[in-house]
Amino acid sequence: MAVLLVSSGRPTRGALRITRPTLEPLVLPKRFDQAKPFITLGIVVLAWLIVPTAIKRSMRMSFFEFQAPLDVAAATARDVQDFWALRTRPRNELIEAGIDLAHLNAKYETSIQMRAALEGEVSRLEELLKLPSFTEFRSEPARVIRRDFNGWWQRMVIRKGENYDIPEGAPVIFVGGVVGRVRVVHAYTAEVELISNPGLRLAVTIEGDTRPLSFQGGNNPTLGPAHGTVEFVPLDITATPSSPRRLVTSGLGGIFPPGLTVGQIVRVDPSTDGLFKTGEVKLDPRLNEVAEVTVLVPIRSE
Amino acid sequence: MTRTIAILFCCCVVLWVCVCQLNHYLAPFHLSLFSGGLLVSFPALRLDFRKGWWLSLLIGLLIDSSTGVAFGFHGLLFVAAHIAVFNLRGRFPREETTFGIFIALAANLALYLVISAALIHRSPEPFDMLPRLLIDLLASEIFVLLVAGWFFALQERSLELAGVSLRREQRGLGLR
Repeated sequence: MAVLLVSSGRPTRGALRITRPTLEPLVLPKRFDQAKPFITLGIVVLAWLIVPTAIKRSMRMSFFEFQAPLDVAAATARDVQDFWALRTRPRNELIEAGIDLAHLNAKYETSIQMRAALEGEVSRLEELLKLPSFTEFRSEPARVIRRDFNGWWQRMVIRKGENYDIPEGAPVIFVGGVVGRVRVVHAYTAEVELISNPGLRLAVTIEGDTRPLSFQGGNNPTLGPAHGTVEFVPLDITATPSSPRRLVTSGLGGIFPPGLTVGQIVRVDPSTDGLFKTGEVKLDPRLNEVAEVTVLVPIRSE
Repeated sequence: MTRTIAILFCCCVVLWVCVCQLNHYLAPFHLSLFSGGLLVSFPALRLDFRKGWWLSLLIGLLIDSSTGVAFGFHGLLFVAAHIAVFNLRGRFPREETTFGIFIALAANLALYLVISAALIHRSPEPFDMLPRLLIDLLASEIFVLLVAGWFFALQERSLELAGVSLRREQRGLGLR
């Protein structure tokens, strides 16, 4: 609170001098003048808190879209670099790669046929046992244009957004299992929150076990693979680095389909309450350098 | 006023994009750089209060738009850093590059510690996170030390190219 002093003599150096027609010159202490910017900041903080969320969201989108072309341009430049780097490869190497791809395609053809037969079997059993059917997904591959893995959050930006009907909350996977989920969708990009993000929680189960557990992203040490933690592990479950247990999505919550790999439980310790165990989950090391992901877009039934 | 803010904002966007690209390449090593202190140093040391205030807010909001924190978090922190540096700058040779680099390092350290303190509760094991945060901080400070001189020069030269002379403005001579 500022106190106005009535000065009878000359004001001190650096003080603000205020004159009123009926009073002697009033002098504000210099300290008040210095504190004015901080008071302004306090008022701005209070004003910011009462700004409607819709306005903040709109501003956030605008700022993101402003910088999105720069990220896309940088990613395109990287792709061009990779293209020219591949052009320098000898032709024999490319022919060998083509033969390997042909072998893989033959394998996948067989897998596709087996999958069609299994899907038919699942549908028949669902009908017979009157079970609710699983949500169906459309796969949408997307390139990663920016990775942002710091100690506070773990996110990435992919080069597909509203232009490919990517919805918020859609699961994102890669060859090693779950990557994360779409957090924000922009015009032609989307932000993905990784499973290694400390704020992300997921319902999971141990492979071959139906009891649900809770997974949370953990700390990501420098030069090491990403980690997570799993809670509410039943007391009969054991895991060691030499005999880890595979952790998969449970399908509960309706976001992730069941059976997708999350990571490997490498250690379990009894929790403080003694009712459950808490485990350490090692995530796929390829998650750190993922360049291509697949977004699972739920297909809404007509 | 608008021209100065626009030019410096563009310079900050250039640095921000460069840092984002560096972080993209450093991600496989789980290493990340933070350059918030460098972004707010030049406006706080060289511009008048109002221009620096708006510029710090805009840069903070730009960073907020693509990070995992509440929108306005960096904006308000950067404004607070701007005010703190602005209040101190009269006592030091603020036009000296060496002093500017020192302020950029100090502001970066302070902002990093405040952000870490505000977000550490998200981690399931906060104390295990400290080594990672310390390594990131060290890498960030080295990065700021290396690029601060270039970034100050970039901002000053960009303003000169656009016909804005900070020295003339400070002497009350206005735009060229």
